[in-house]
Amino acid sequence: MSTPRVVHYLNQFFAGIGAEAEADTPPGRKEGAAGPAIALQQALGDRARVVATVYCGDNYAVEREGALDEILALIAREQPDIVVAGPAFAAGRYGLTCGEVCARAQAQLGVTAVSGMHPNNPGADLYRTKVYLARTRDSALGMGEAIQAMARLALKLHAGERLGSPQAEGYLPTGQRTPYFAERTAAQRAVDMLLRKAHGEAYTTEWPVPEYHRVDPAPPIRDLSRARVAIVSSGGVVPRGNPDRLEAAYATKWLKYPIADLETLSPEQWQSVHGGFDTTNINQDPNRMVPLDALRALEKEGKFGALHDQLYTTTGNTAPIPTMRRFAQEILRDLQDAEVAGVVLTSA
Amino acid sequence: MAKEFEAAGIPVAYITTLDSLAQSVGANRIIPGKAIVNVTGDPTLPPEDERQYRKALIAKALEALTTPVEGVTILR
Repeated sequence: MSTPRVVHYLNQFFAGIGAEAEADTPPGRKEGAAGPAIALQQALGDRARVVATVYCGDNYAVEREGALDEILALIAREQPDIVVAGPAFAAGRYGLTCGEVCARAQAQLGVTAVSGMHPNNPGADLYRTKVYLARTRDSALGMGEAIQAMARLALKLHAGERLGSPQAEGYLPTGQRTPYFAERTAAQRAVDMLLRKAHGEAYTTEWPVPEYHRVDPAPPIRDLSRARVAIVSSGGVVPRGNPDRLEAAYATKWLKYPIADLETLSPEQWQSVHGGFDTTNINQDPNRMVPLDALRALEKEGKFGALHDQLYTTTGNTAPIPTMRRFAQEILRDLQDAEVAGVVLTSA
Repeated sequence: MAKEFEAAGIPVAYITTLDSLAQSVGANRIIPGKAIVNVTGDPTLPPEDERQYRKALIAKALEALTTPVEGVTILR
């Protein structure tokens, strides 16, 4: 049997093209292994061969119609047996693209596909039931371990070997249920867990309560012309100089700033500190993330009652869901006090 | 954040470029934005045209606040 052919998909940064400024790079290909694909080849040894590295800019991949088709076409031309994508760590656009590339490679090309990302990556919950995702750290500090894990998973899957549990093999739970006989009954394990919890001892849940829940839509505003509307954004928009030190990632706070006297957000007075994408365009015109000028214009025309006098702002980059929920609950108190009837929320 | 506000009875018009992600997470009123780097703007347009584009986008967002929806909805 000939050596399995591997294609490694990377974003523009890991392919060595450039950082956020090059996020619009269209799909391309490099011969053999480039960037982290070199480490992948080392991890694979002589059991598989990286024949090409395919890449695409993060923005191009998530924004352009047909981008995924273009990427898959480049991959297909290499006639791979295995596709490895990422690892994407905590990078949302990259994680979404890696997941989709692998899902399509499996479905359309019938090949083994593996990616890797942090459990909080937006791509993780979307793709872990479709694609095996190695569990990685949240930054490229974890590159070495991630590559090892992806190589191991790829080879095992390609060989048709049975994978052990997510914990044992280092991948994100896929939602698959495999029946097995436990040594102790569920009743015994549950009581044991309860006693540990009651005594303040460490315990491990067998099933983490899933985070994504559906919320019934709030009823629509009946009379917009009299409604107070608030603007909230997770795009990291702050007064120039970031006086209250909003973080570029892993935000620990949300902030509010008075906007009652403002007709627009000027680039001299405002900026974005969001660390997850290139903020150049927003820094030229902050209305491109917090659309104050448009809201004021529509308010003046009487399209809605009044714009709430505070801007609520935070950075959504790599923010864990529980944190953002807490921020929203805190902001909610302000909104309810002011009888805000509706919110315009913006993010990248 | 959108779901927390909605759960409290305040409708949210969520403008984002990653509308498919917002859909999967379950925001109820989603309006697709222009691009990652300028969600409510378009620097390829002359300034006045860009302001008109943004105004139309926000008008759509405000309309979403008055629109009854059954669940996750992308309003283009």
